[in-house]
Amino acid sequence: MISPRERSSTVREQVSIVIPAHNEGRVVGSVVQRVCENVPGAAVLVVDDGSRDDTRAQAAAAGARVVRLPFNCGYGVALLTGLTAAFRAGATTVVTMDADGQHDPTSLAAILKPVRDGEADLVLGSRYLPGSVSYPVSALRRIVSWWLSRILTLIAGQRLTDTTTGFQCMNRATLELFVTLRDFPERAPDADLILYAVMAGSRVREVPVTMHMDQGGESMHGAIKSMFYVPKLATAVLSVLLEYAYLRAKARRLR
Amino acid sequence: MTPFPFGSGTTLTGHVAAEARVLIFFCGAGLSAWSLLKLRRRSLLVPTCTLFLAIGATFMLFAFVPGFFDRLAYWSGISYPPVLYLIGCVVILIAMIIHLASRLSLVDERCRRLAIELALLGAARSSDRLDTRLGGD
Repeated sequence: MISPRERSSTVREQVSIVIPAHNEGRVVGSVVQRVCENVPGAAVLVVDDGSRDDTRAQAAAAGARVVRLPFNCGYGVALLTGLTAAFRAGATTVVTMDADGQHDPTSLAAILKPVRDGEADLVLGSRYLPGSVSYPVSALRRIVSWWLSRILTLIAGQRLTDTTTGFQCMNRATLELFVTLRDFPERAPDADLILYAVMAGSRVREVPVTMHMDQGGESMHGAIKSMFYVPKLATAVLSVLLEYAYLRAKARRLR
Repeated sequence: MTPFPFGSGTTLTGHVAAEARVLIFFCGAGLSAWSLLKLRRRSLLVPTCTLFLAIGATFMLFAFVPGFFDRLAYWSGISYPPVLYLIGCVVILIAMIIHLASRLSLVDERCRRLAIELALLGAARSSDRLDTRLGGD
């Protein structure tokens, strides 16, 4: 069996940056430009989630490839679309990040490194680790995030501090795991997606990153949706736990 | 003492007026006719149409034999027959909600998958080089 390090040396690396976007025309262009500057040679893929503004034109003008969903399907579907496109294109390393400028592209090198070195299958950009730079997070959000992290830390058996981060990097094996899941969590692909990876035996690692307040026009996590976020996520985590046998079998097949 | 003692000589059908029976019959006949019309136009699913036809038939049965459900209520140990109707309605409504929720989830899932494939096909069509560019230069 080829180790990830050996594989990375024998297979030419193809990095894809997947950016789901919904009505982010004001900032998506600058985000794409900064990504291209920080990871030269990477393919930047913007998934336009049925935007009503000029998101598609701005992203394309900045040099990104744009995949447009026919109507607004939500963050999870946009993410799955991007991951599927990258997988079918043969990407070996994929980074997912937000289009609203929240995730600083200068952190891309740090988030890519553990996957490139074969030290991790999934890397999470954390805003809570020492060394990270983050905007002031509200007390409520901090409490919810802390509880989620504690629960996932218990289940995963390793310390996780930021389980709701969308700034992630994964190798091809993890990418394949996600895009071939029989039930991708399209509604809330946060902690449950990380849990899928953990339960399938992926090596998960966190790195400190820089995050800003979002500069975009419309959040993909609205105020009303946020009210239902915690119970919804709790149900989602429960559904992943119920999939344990399936995930272990799938992980064995993928290896 | 039960309000409508079964077998005591009370006419069980006596408490439904003829006008009400006619109205109930036409409600049932109307529902059945509407269901069949929708089915003919293929704008109603067969299982849903079956359910509406059954409800329509039940209405018509009630119009012809109003005492039947009263007897059924007494036979099943319910001394106040309207409770049987209430239980029946609640059970049917819950069954319909479960059925429609599962159908909606299935359609929602298929719609999302279709949207993803449509987006990927559209992107591939607009640029033949998409696949090669996605993985780097």
